[in-house]
Order: sequence, then C-alpha cells, then structure tokens
Amino acid sequence: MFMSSVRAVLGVIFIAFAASAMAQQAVLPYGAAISLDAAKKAVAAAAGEARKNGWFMAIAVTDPNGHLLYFERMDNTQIGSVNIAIRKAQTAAQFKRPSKVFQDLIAKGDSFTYLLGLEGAMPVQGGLPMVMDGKIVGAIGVSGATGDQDSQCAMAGLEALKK
Amino acid sequence: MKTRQMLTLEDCKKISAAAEAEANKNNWNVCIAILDDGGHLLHLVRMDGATPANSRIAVAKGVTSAETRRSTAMWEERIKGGRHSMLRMPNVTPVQGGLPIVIEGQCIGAVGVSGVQSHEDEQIAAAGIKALD
Repeated sequence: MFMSSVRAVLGVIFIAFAASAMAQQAVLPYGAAISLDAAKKAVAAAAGEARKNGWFMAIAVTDPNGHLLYFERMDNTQIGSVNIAIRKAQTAAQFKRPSKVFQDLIAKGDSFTYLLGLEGAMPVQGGLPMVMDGKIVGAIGVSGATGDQDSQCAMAGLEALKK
Repeated sequence: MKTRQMLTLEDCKKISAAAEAEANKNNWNVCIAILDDGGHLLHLVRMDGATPANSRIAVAKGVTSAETRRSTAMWEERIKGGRHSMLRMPNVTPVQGGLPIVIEGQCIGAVGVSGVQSHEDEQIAAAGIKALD
C-alpha cells in the first residue's frame, strides 16, 4: 500500500552476514514506488547534511525497479558522481540491500571477488534501500565525497522519511 | 579569456518548478530532466504517474539538446524532411521535447521533457526555461 504522506515506518535494511555471507535476515517484498514528494523530502535532508559538512554531492532516488525518480547535483560536485550516485541507488533497489554489503564482502578477500562480476551491483557504499510499510519503495544513492560521507548523507535522507 | 556561465542547483530548481507547474496546470504527468552543457545530469523530477521510460527519454532528449545546442524538434524536422541518414547520429534522440538553454548566445545546458505529446513536452520545457528570465 502506498501513501503520499509518509507516516509509515521507514528504515534501512541491515543485513547480517556472519556465517553465510549473502544470507539476509529478511527479504522484503517490493512495493509501489515512493511518491515524488517523499523523494524530494529525502533528498533535501541528504543535501542538507552535505551542505552542513561542506561536501558536494550528487543525490539520486530511484523507484523499486531502479529507474530514476528524482536527482539533484549540488553546485561544484564532480561530474563523475552523477552516474555513480544513480548506480548506487540502482544497486540498493535491485539487490534489496545497501551497496555497502558488496563493498564489505569484497574487502574480505579472494573468496568474494566474484561479486565484482555481478551485473548492476556497484560495490561502493552510499546506496540504501527505502522501506515503507515493510516494502521496498525505492532507493537513495549518494556520491561526491568519501564512502563514509556519502553513506552519512544517504542515511540522513532516510531519517527524514521517518518523521 | 573566455568566461563560462553555469547553471546552479538553485537555477535548476527554479526551472524544474516552473516546468512542473506548467505540467500540473494541464494535468500532465511527465519527467523533467535538466543537464549541463556537457549533457551531464543536473536535476531530474519524475512526477507521480509518469513512466520509467519517461525518465530515460527525458534525459536522452536533454542530452541531445545540450550536446548539439539545438532543439530536438529541429532534429526531428530534418529527418522528416528526408535526411534519414541523421538517424545514425550518435546520442541524438530526434523527438521534440528537448530545448537548449541559451544565455547571452551561449548554450549552458538543456531541458528534456517526456510524458505527453511531443509538442506538449516542449511546451513544458519552454515554460521551465522561461523561469530564468
């Protein structure tokens, strides 16, 4: 069920990958796409977080399929971040998990380098699924600074939707 | 020394808001993409009800106008006029709805719109660019 006023429960999917690396705690179903208003709200918060810290970011929101819904590039942002932000969001939407999951697994070593061959999975943090009423309604992707800083902004975007 | 004008995010939001208002006024659900003078995305809005294809097409129209400094309608007309070889031009989407943003004779970017009839898409793009006046 989709509603334009966001009062629903929103959260990031955190995935535990202790024993079986790719095992997920819960596989959430896909829902209807997030509304444009909600997407704008999330991006405004993410951009606010970037501005506060003096970072320049490209911020993308896709629908659950990974198709672009909203995008903005802050002044002075490097052009390379345009497609990276979009691809991070697509990764989070299409693989139902934060893009950081792939980054962390590949960092574990040789047994996970096969993940580099996973089509459409960008193994760089900064992409997070957007969840509403227990369903994936889209994803946010941020690029422009360090991975940690990108993630911090993406997280701020999700936080704004909880309010 | 040459000087170069650039669209700020604030400019983009102004353009997008005006374009969205034009679409809303007519009950049209469209996607509006704004690109820099190199055809790189600056801002995109897909209104509720517009399709995934609209996102892709709006960007493609915008890239065409930004990189060629011409309206996509111009390309459409040329091909309709018989120059079918123009269909092989790389990164050209020859469908009306993309307009270059020209300031003091310089192209500083473009707006691409997709979602309704092509001439209506262009009407929305033009309304957006007019907000810069």
